[in-house]
Amino acid sequence: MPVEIENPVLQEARALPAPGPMWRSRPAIKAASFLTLLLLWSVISRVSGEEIFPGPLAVGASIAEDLVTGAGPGLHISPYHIAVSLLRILCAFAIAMVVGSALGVLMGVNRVCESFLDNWIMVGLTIPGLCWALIALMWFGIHDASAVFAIVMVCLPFVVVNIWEGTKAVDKQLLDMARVFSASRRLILRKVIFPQLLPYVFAAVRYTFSVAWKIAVVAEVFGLSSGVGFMLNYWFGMFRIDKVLGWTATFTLIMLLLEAVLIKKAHARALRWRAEVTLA
Amino acid sequence: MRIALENLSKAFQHPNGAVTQVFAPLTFQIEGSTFVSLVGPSGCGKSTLLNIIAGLEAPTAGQVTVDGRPIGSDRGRSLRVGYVFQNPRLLNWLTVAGNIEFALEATGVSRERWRALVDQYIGLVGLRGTEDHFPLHLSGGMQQRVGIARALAIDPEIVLMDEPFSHLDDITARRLRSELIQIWQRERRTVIFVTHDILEAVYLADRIVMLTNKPARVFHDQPVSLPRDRHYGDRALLDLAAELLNRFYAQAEA
Repeated sequence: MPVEIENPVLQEARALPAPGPMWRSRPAIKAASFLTLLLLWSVISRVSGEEIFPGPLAVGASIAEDLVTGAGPGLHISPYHIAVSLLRILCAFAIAMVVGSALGVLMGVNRVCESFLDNWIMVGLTIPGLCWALIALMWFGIHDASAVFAIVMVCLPFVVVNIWEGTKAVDKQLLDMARVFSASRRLILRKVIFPQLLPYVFAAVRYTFSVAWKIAVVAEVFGLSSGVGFMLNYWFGMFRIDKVLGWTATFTLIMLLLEAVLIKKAHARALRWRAEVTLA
Repeated sequence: MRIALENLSKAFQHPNGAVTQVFAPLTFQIEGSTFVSLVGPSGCGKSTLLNIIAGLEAPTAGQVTVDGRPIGSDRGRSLRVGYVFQNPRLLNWLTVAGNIEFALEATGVSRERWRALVDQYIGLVGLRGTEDHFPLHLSGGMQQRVGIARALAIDPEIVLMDEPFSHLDDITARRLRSELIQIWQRERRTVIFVTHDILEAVYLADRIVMLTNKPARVFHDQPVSLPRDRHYGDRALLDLAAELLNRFYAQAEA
């Protein structure tokens, strides 16, 4: 006879999300916070004068002109520069994640590698991104490789540290459990180890993504003839504050959007098993 | 089936060179289809003993045999073990069904049988309806039920249980014990149930093997012939528990 028990926990789970008033919902607060930011911007701009600090409308109009007509310095239309910057960032991002994960796992499982690489990582974490950008430009010249190299060097140590930590934190009790049930190495990697590394991978992804574009812009400002940084440098030379603000805002928005659409979604989906709501 | 521990000993060497003997050469047999409880004080090496039977640790000397054939990774015979841990040790990123499927996949059960087995054992432990839930969204008692279902679903030759109810509140623990016995009466698997709770052992087991403190040895072997459908209030059950407790104190002072 099967043992039948009612599950009050499940019934509770179904009844759980009690919606609050509309204005306190998360999307509402977020929209309000964004609008407040724009409002503050306009107010400060009014007070300080439009020619020193143009407001959001003026900046928006100015950048829209660039993006729509494609006007700008050099041979290329404006969207091209955005694409170039994004490409450099994605390329460096991929390299940093792959190499960093490999090194991190290695340090997590091998004590010799750990002691050996430990200091290198500390050195890597300490060197400012600006220095890497300057060094890269002197080594590789005016070339995409300069930006990519600089970004990789800045992000790599951070990726390594995260994955290293994650590897060390793998639960040995779960490995024993898997061994008792005679799981193969492949199965253990896939279902026991990788899921435990995932939160650390995501931490590394988010950091890398947020830092990568800052370094890209620095490298482009100092030496490259394309990319968002190049545009910033050009308009800086022309003393066009509206354009500088416009390009900054545009690229910030693009990066935030990518983060919100791609990374956050993937993150929420991959970690939906976590006990945000613990029942019973 | 008969499982025999033959002159089993286990010693740990500390970094400073000192050696701790976990158990003195340990010898006893377990008949198939019986529910045996190993009772001993905390830290007497009960878990180590289960780990050796499960093949997680190697004994320093001696061996474990199944029907006369030694087990171990290099010895040809391996034992299909269902292990229920003190903490459920579930894979929290897999659903309830996914956790049971993990054990099935690990032990090489063919994929077309998974659905039926998952269904059968989730029903057996009373978790129907939770198949798609993640463990962290369940209570401790429900998590341990998943652990039990996982251990039984692989059709184990032996079920090892390491104080599986010690982290649960008393009411939940009692309910799970009574369910465990009902399941056991249907399936009649060989169970080694480790506990430090004598009353729990008397309630559950056909036989109680009592171990001393480190280095552990068997100091008493008690068959329990109380009729099934036991109740905590039963006179005979309480008397036996009291007697065993006295034996334990007498041994500890000797």
